[in-house]
Amino acid sequence: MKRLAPELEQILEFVSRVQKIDLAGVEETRQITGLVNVTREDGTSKCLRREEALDQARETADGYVVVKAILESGEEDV
Amino acid sequence: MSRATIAELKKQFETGERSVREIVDEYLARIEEKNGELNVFLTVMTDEARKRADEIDKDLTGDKSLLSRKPLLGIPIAYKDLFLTKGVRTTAGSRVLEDYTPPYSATVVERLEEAGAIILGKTNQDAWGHGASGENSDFGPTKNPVNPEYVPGGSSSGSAAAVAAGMTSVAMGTDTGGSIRQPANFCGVVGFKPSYGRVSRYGVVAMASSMDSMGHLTNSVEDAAMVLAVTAGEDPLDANTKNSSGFNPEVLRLRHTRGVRVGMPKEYLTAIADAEVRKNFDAVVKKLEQLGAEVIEVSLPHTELAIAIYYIVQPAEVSSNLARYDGIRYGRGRDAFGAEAKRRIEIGNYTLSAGYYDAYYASALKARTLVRRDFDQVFEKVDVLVAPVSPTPAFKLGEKKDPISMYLADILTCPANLAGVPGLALPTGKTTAGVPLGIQILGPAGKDESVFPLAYQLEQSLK
Repeated sequence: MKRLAPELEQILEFVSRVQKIDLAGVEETRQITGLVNVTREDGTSKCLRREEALDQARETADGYVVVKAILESGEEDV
Repeated sequence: MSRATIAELKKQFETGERSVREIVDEYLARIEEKNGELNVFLTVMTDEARKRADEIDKDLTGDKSLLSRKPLLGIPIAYKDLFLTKGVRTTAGSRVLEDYTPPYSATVVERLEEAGAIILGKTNQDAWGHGASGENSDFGPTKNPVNPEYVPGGSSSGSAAAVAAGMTSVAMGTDTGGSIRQPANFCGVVGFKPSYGRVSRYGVVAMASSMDSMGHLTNSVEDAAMVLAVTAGEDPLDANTKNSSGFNPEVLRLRHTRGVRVGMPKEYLTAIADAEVRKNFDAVVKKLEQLGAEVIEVSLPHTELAIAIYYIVQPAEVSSNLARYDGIRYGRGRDAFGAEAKRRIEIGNYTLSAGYYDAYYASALKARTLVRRDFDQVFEKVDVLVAPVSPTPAFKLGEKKDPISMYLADILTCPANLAGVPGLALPTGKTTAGVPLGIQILGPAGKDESVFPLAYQLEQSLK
């Protein structure tokens, strides 16, 4: 972060020129295809088997991915 | 034959002059010979490629007509390491995915495989697509095959270098702000970035989703058209390809260049920072006029602003996309991100944060509209645009040290991504030091067909 901080300041200064032009009344461009609500047929399709989906996880147990606890033990009663 | 085109290779298979196995072995031998010095491939699939070649040779002995039914049958191909390849390590150039083996392939990979292409391996790149020199790979920089003291450009560094060095015939790349066109320009190969939404992004590691375009690096304009004919078209797995039509490669011969109106954006010319780039560009314009094109000066007034807009919109989308790499379901943890990814995550988080959203992100989205309008207006007057790809030819390794000077390398390519228009980079000469020079031809969004005939005619006239 020590190295990043001054660089981030420079980058923000560099991109801040977008604030210097008159954008009153200009619409935002959030996407460019103009497509709205593209949906698919409601139905089933081929997907990964459970073993395939779990294959790359660091740690698994009983068909689940093991993740770090985010609650301290003893908080179960809260 | 080290830079053989698709048509040349297919002719050899057709006549039986060379078998697919012989060709594949030749490419593999060149990879073996040059990869140590150039660091182009991160994964080489020697056994798989040979096996596939033998299978195709066997099929061909019984039925040569396969060659006309499978447009890329037996053609060696390499993928930038952002393209997921089932069962084959896919790193995105980052330590985070150092040992990640995806359980499925990108749509584009599946289509090319179905078309008969033989995968030789996965190419080096700037990590996550973040870079314009190929130096920002966690697996070491790629060198320019033309002269290893120079960078190959980026972020599709390995893909451009692989085609230039004859280590593959075709290579896939991605272009979010210039990452196909700029390395193609630096290495002296053809690089094509399709319109946004023309080619499926499914199964390709996302950088900035509103601009990511899946394209390719090839030895000729015709090859670029042949590959696009396989990759283009609707994919239910990428909603943005809805209404994308297929692509007919015959377009490059069906349309002629006489009377084509070519715009030369004056803001792009002002940005040129090298006398040889300028001189070559002027020579190209003369050539286009000789081909019967009508070249006129046009203006895209928000060009200079585009790079600032791009470096707000893109890191914002990057910060969102990279959030999924938490090291839980696959890959290593967040501590494995390199400095440039961290920089972009920080910038993105900042410009999207409640207090700064309007000042940065919302302003950039509005300004992006102005860039799009520039293109819309200019394409009412001209059919295509011609411009340099980069303000300078390839620079030397280690030459650009601070992030902003590296970001500025995208100055002439990123406007096309903000507007979603297609672009083809074509080599058009060399500097006195022997470094490649070239131009890009840009067309209206969705009209990828528009850039090919002119590029083809220009390429032929420069032979």
